[in-house]
Amino acid sequence: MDSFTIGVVSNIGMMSLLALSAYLLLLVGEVSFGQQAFFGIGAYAAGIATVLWGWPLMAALLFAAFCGSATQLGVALPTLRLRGFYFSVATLAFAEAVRIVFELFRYRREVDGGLAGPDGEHGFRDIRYIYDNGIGTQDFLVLIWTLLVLALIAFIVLERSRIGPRLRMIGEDDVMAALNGIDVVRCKLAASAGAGALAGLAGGFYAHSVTYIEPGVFNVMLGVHTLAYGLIGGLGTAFGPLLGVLIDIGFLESFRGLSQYRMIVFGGLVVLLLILRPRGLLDEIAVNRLAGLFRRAQ
Amino acid sequence: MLSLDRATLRFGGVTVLDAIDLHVGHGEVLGLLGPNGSGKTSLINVVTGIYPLSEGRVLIDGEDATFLPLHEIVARGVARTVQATRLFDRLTVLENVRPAQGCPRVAVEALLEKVGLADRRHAMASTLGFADRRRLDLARALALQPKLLLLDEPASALTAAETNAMAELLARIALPGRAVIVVEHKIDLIATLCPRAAVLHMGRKVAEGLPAEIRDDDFLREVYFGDRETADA
Repeated sequence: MDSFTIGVVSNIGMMSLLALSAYLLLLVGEVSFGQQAFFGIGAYAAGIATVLWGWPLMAALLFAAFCGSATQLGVALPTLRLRGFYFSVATLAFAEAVRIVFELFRYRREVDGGLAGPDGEHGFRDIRYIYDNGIGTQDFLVLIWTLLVLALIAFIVLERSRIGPRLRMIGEDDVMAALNGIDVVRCKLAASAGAGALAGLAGGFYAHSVTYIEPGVFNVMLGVHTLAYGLIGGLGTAFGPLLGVLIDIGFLESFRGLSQYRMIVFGGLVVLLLILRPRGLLDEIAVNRLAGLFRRAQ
Repeated sequence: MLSLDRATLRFGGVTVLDAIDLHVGHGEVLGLLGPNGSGKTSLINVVTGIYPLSEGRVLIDGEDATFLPLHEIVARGVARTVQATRLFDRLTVLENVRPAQGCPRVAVEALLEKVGLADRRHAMASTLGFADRRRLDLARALALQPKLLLLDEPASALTAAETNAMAELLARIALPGRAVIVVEHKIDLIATLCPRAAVLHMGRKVAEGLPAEIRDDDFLREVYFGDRETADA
């Protein structure tokens, strides 16, 4: 596999993890424009862990997931009282605040004879763990996709259990969900913690993949893309956000002829789908039809 | 099972429920009658925790449940159907019923069989006709294995034949072995299902007794049900 392909496929894997984090919140009816914040927190946390603290990669990735999860849980506790539009605005405002904190955040220590660590607006350079430890980009790609597949399996198990319909009930009508005996607040907090962990993990991968992160990366456009992946690909299954990422990164960004028109096509696609298929290509009806075909084939 | 102790509900200056006292014992079936706006659905919303009481108490099995969250009221054995059949349209028939705690898959399948929706278990709830939606709503509530079931106009907007089928279904699977409150306009349905009925008017309980007595009371019939044709409709 050439380095360009490895880069694109790695990117698809990382963005899919991030898209799954927004999808998990969409399942419980929360539209978050702020997943880039937890992605960024995971990126900084994992980078600090390997570069400044000398942690092994897996421990750093776990730490990234933990930081993303804990932060999102902390944000969810006060903001879940807000509904719909107000929750979206609150998540967006929080994400912008986090981006500004990154611009102010300096945590520099001497490592191997030079200063390393986050340097405010200049970002965080030389997160070179995988290169310094002989982990090839292809091996790293396998690691990203292994965790993505594990996350997808977890989603499939979740959706086939009682928990999946419970989350979807909350997303559709939280009062009726509560009348079905579902503890809506607890479920939303659990979904937030899971979403933060996925975004943080994706950020940890991202930091080690690109070796250099800067606050500007974690901007609102990344949040819009993260949300749009689920809305394009569909909210009927966890494969929906993956399809959204494949359409955007795998198709629009990867073909040189299309890349310069990517944002125009992407924006148009979002508008078109919101009108024609508001819950995406693989929405609940499409998934139900596919499941019916599968049952008949069996 | 359920006691309302001077239950009062106000929205601003409007009194929706005015010091209602009501008791439903274990295994007892109570009909709740009254014209539109009399407070019947508000009473169910108070019991299920959707509306917090302004004054008074809701007791479930003798314990104060007045300000409990909705899911905790369900955990105490209370389930309800909804007049407008608010189903989860993006879920299948099976998924609408399956999340109920403590109801295994085989029991859910048996329940769908009983309400006549087993063949449509994998259909999206949004594709069901109105009568089927009512039956799914009933199955969803029964899957919670309630000790107290609140049926909010279970025959509303059904044809005469569908109403009879619903009455038969309720008598067969919903009423036995639990306390039930049936909110309904159709007094004949109440008379068929309920040994006892109460009448609400403008948020007050104005009568309680045998459905036949209420139906035959000229004053109640004229004031609360209009003429006999309307009452029997």
